[in-house]
Amino acid sequence: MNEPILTVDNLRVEIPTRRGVVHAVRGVSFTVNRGETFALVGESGSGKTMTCRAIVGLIHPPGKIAGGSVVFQGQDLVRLPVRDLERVRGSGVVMVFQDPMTALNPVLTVEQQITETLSRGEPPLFQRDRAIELLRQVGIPDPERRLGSYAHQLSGGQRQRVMLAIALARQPALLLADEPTTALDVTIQAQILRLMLTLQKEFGMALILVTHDLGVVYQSVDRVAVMYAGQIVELAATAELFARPRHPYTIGLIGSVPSADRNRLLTPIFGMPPDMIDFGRGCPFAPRCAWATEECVDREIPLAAVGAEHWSRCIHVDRLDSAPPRPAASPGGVSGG
Amino acid sequence: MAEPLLSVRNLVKHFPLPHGVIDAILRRPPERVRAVDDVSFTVERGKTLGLVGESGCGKSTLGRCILRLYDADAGEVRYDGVDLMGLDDAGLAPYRKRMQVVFQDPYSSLNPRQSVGKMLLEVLDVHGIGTAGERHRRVIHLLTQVGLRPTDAQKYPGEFSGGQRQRLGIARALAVEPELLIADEPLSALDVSIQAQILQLLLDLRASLGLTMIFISHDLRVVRYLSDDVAVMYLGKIVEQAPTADLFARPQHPYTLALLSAMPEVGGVSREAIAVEGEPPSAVHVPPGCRFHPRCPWNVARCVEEEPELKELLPRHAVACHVAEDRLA
Repeated sequence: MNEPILTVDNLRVEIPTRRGVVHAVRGVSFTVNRGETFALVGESGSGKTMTCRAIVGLIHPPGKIAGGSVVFQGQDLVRLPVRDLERVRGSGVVMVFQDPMTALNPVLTVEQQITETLSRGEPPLFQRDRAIELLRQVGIPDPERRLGSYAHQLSGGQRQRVMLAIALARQPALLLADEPTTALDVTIQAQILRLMLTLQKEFGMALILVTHDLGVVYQSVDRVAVMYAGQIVELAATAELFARPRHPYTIGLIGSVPSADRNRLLTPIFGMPPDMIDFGRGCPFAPRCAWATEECVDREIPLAAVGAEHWSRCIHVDRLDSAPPRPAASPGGVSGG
Repeated sequence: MAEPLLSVRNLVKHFPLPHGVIDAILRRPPERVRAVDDVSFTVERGKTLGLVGESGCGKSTLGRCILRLYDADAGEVRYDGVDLMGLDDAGLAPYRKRMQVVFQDPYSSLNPRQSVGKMLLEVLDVHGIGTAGERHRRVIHLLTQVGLRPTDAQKYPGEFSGGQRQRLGIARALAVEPELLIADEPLSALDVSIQAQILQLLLDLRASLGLTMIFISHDLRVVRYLSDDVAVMYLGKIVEQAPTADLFARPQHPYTLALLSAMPEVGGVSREAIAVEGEPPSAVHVPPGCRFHPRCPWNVARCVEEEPELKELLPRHAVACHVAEDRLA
């Protein structure tokens, strides 16, 4: 069932600041298929959240979408008038955020916030039943009583469940989840993630999961896009990506996670992500990369196919299997992080 | 076997909740947060103990009680044979030098108006380490030791990134050449690639300085990577404790199993998921019997009635669970 539901093409997001323009998203392209679980992976500042916000049209001024298109079910959301966009946002694409406390309205009850999203014109009694049903679906115990609760009366996990209930009220075809479990405790994280994946199947939704947790990606998603400095640097099916990473940054990320094997040394990436204002033309990862050559800095590196359904923004793909020619930077001397 | 560097016995720390006039009139009993509730463990010289649990389980309070940043209500903290609980401030001073802490949020634990060099000099000054000239050299040495530049001494904390600030936090802790380093979630505020840098730094320093460590974290993956022993805490109590390899190969407590299955691993086989329902209860209203029973998939009648003791059910492997005990008997 490889029918694309979302096609993002050459998306660019810019945010003017006093220091200059921050190029938060720099030409991001990918597609998400109907019912698929897709992950955007990257560290803070990599542009993964901004990409999602651009998809749902939630870039706050003075930030703006500077180019590209976001085609959802045949409509380009970037060019859609705001009124139509609101309609799409309600029933087509929804986003849940990292911090449900700030995303929920503190002065409205749970019931008010869910019914607000339900289609208008339905009788209030019906709406109440729907709200109860939704709360039950997201695993809120005693939903009738919870209808009258306010956000501050709920625990972090329950707030995220209520967020999901609101998101699901209009039966969206695509759910964007921006680090939905980061603010939660470990066992609650697992609950919410499991719930999201169950609901995704139940509702037949596509899911874009924004995360920095490679373990979660490994165990639960179909395809992965790795982002660095506002670009997708690698895109592949999950199993393929972990078995044969074809970008030094991906290799670095995987090597940064402590593994079960204590004999396997950690191979941290040294240095820091680049300044998002002042870019050279070349690969933004080159200063931290052990394989980098002069060629990497000289020209723009395109995202190129390196295997079946596998793309990488690296010109040294063939050399990555051998050990790096030099350590990226000495861990002791010049400081990183 | 030599005497352990640190030995904690039956440590208790409760925080009283505000008890107002109305509560008194209504004769409500005063309530307390039972942050640490009868915890015992030892750490041998040169070893690292990983202390794992979710927020509110008391792992940070425990760390602070050991340092006497909090005064425990009961129990004993023996450091190198001396009971720290009985010491006054003056008596404690030498031990404050031998134990240091690195906090989670390096920014809030640094003074924004003090340059890094001054901050480190002050630490050396307070503890009376070296002459003025030696102190300056020591500051430079500390900065390079944690991977910063000597010129960074002139900068203020605000000029550093999160990872660099954590390096500063570590430099400050190392300034007094401690034997025991308590690291309280030192990686949580950092990005993945930066986490690995700091983790590697801690490993290098541990090896070169022969540090004894207590590593407090919610992340079992990190704890597995660097600990010799692991203690899993839940609501103020240790529920399982074992040498690291053993704990991960043969986890016994359902809460440990739940934590493990909640942490998907790259390349790991997905474990049989132990789904834990509900959320941790508050440490004010601790459930009777086993504290974990309301969320436990194994819950039997005895769990509600009787609190399980932490018992050595396998060699050096202690578990507080009735069901595990019956199974292993």
